[in-house]
Amino acid sequence: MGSVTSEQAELFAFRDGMQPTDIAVFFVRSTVPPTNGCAAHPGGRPGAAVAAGATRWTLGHEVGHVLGLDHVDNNDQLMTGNGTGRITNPPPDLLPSEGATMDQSALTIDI
Amino acid sequence: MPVDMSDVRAALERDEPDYTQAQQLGPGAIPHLAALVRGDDAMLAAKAVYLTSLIDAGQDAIKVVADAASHPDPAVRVAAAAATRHLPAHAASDIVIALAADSDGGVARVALKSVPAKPSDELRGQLAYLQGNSEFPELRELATHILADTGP
Ligand SMILES: [Zn+2]
Repeated sequence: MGSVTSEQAELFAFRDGMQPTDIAVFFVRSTVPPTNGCAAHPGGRPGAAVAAGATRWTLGHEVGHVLGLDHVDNNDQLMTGNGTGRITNPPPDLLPSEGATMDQSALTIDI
Repeated sequence: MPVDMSDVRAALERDEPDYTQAQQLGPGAIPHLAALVRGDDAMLAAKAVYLTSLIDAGQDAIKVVADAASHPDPAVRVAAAAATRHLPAHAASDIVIALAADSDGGVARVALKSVPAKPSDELRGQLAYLQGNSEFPELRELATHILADTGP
């Protein structure tokens, strides 16, 4: 999902003890270029990076991307593309259609 | 077209700013970006210095990056180090010299990874110093590689 740098490839290789469908989230001090978080990951190594300066919704937002969600233009929703720091009326919403998309992700398994 | 602070914040408050698109704000954004670099939100300051380096604004942009290089938050200094990659080599060398000597190993590492293809003599001198004296083994190794890869 997305192209990755050699540094991202190195980071996302840390998956000791994880199943192929597990999403690894790496909490980092910062990213280059600067982002709150980034859902780009190497093929077969699902995960995201979340920066120290992220908002409290960035983690969920990035995992949403990993599970196949795109941005929306609505600050009541977790997947707002305007910045999760602009979320109004928290907690932010996920639409039923977004739930269905995540259910259909190959990473979503029955437990 | 005048650029408002609200335009700049809208571009940078995104979780994943689109820097290529934000670059279109142009030199009119520089005063707002400079204010964000001086502000108390380190995440925004880091994004602001990086965007500044992508805007063709000559000395004004260089000054913002130089300011960010002495920011108290290391995450902003990391962004300043990465931002030097988009500056003219002479300006980049001066800022990289400061950041390569940073007491924070993460900042110094990004600075070394931002050494321009033709570093100044002064920067080469500092690389030679780090090669022998850095407290971080990874930085000593990195400095050695860069000295070998970049001619005088
Ligand atoms: Zn996003």
